[in-house]
Amino acid sequence: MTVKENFFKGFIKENQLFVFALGMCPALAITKSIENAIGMGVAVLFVLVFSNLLVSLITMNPKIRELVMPVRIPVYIVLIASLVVIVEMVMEAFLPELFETLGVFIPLIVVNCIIFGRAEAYAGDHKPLESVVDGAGMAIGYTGAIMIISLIREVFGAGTITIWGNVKLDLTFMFDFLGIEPIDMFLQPVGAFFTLGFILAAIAAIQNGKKDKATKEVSK
Amino acid sequence: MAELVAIAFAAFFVENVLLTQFLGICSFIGVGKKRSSSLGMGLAVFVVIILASIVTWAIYNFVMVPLEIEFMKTIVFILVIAALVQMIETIIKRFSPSLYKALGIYLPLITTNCAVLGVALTNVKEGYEFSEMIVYAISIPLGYMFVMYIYAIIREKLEFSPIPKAFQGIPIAMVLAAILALIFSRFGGLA
Amino acid sequence: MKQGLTSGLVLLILGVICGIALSVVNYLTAPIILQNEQAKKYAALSDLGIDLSLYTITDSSLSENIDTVYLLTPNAETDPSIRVYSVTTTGFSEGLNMLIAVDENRTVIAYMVVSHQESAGYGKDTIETHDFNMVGAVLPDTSLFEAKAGTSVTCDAILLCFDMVAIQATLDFGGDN
Repeated sequence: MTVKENFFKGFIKENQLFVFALGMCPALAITKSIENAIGMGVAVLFVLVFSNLLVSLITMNPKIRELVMPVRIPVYIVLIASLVVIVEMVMEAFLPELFETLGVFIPLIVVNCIIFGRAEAYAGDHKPLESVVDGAGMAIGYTGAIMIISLIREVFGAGTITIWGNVKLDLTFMFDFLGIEPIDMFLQPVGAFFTLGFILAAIAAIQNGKKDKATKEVSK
Repeated sequence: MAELVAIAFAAFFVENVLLTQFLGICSFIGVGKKRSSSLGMGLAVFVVIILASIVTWAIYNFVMVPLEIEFMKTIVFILVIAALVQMIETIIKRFSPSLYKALGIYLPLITTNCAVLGVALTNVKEGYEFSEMIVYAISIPLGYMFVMYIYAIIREKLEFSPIPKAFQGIPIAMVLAAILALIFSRFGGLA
Repeated sequence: MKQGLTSGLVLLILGVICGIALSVVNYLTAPIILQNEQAKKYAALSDLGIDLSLYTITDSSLSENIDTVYLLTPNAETDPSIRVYSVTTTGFSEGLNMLIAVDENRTVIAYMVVSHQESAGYGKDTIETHDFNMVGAVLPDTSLFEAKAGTSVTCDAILLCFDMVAIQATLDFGGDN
C-alpha cells in the first residue's frame, strides 16, 4: 500500500464513522455547528496521531514489545488518557468557549473506540511513520464526517454556517424566501439521530447501487 | 429531599443518558436488538456506574482535591473504571457462574462505554454531595435500562417489518432512536 | 510471579513518565485557565471601565442589603483600593441589579445597571439613556443624584441602591458622620 493510499483510505473506504459506525457519541452530541465539529476533529486528530505514534514506537523494539504486550491494554489506556488530558488542558486554556460547548466530550475521547481501535488494529504492528499517516487519515476522515452532519444540522436548524468564531455565513434569507422559520428540530437530539440515520441510509443506497451494477456486469 | 427528586427526575427523563446526552450510543445501537441482551447490558451498566461513581467520587474528593491534582481526573477515572470492571468480572466468575453467563459478555464492553466515565466526570463537575451523587448514579443507569428496553421491544418487532433496503441495519435503528428522542424531548417542559 | 512483577514495573514507569509530562503541561496552562475563569467571573466588573489587570480581586457576600462585595486590592501600592458593590432592589419589577464602584474616600468611581425588568419606554429608557450624575459623589451624600421626571419609581430604586451602598461603604471604610 502506498503512502497516499494509506492516508486516503480513512476518508471514504474505511471511514470510521460512516462505514464502521465508531465514535458515534460525539458525532451525535456536538454536531450543532461546524465550529464544534472542527474543534472536536482537531482534538481527535492530535490524540490519534500521537497515540498511533507512541504505540508503534513502543511496540517496534522487540524487547520493549515483550515487556508491554501482556499489559498492553492498560498501557494503551494510560497513553491515550494522558494525551487526552493534555488536549483538555490546552483547550481549556486557549479556547475556553469551545471547551465549554464540547464539554464532557473532550475527556470522553479516552473511550472513543476509534483511538483504541487504531492502536490495537494498526499501530501495534506497523512502523511509526505508517502509523502516523494512518492516524492522520482516519482523524481527517472522521472530522469530515462530523462536519457533514454539522453542516446539515446547522443549515436547516439555524440557517447559518459557523466556520470559526465570527467567520459565519448567514443563510437565513433562504428561510425568509420560503416564508418559514429555521427548523429548530435539527438542533435537538431528534435531528441528530435523524441526520445520521439518513446519511447512513444514503451511503447504503449508493453501495447497494454499485453492488447491483457489479453483479449485473458479472452476469453479462 | 425535593432537590434529590429533581435530580432523579432530570437524570431519568429530561437528561436521559442515551437520548439527550448521547452517552453509550454504541452499546445502545449494538446491544439494543433483543430484550434479553438489553436487560443484561442494562444491569451490568447499573452495577458498574454505581460502584465507579462511589469510588471515583471518593478518590476525587479525598485524594485528588487535597493534593491539587484535579487535572489528572480523566486518567485516574478511566483506570479506576477499567480495574473495577476487571475486578467485578473476576468476582462474578468465581462466585456465581450463572450470573457470569448472563453478564460476562457485556462486562468487557463497559470499560469503553462512555456513560460510565461520563457519569463519573459529571459527578465531580457538578460538585455533587454524597447523597446527590448516589441519586444521580442510580437514576442515570435506570434511565439507560428503561430506554434500551423500550427500544429493544420495538426493534424486535422491526425484524419482521418490510424496511427499504437502504435503511436496513443501523439507519433504521437511528431513525427509531430519533422518534424516541422526540418523545423524550417533551419531558423538558416538565422540569 | 516474575511476569507480574515486570508488568507492574512497566506500568509504574509509564505512569511516572505520563504523570511528569502532565504536570509540566498543567504547570504551563493552569495560570491561564485561572485567569480565564477570573475574567469570566468578573466580566461585569470590566464593563465598569476598571482595568482588572491592575488589581487582585477577592469577593465576599456579607450583609442582607448587598449581594456581593468585590475587593480590588491594587498590585501597585500607590493606587488606591476599590470596593465594587453588587446590590439588588425593586423598581417597577423585582431584580434591578446594580454594580457601584467606590474608592477609599467613599467617592463613586463608576456605576452601571447590570440587569433589570423595568417597562420598555419608561424605566428601561431611563436606565439606558439617562445619566444619574453620581460619578464623583462622596457617599453617603447623594444630593448630586439627578432623577428623571416621569420615571420616579425606577429612579427611586436606583437611588436606594446608592443609599444601601453608602451604609455599607461607611462600615467598610470608616466614616466621619
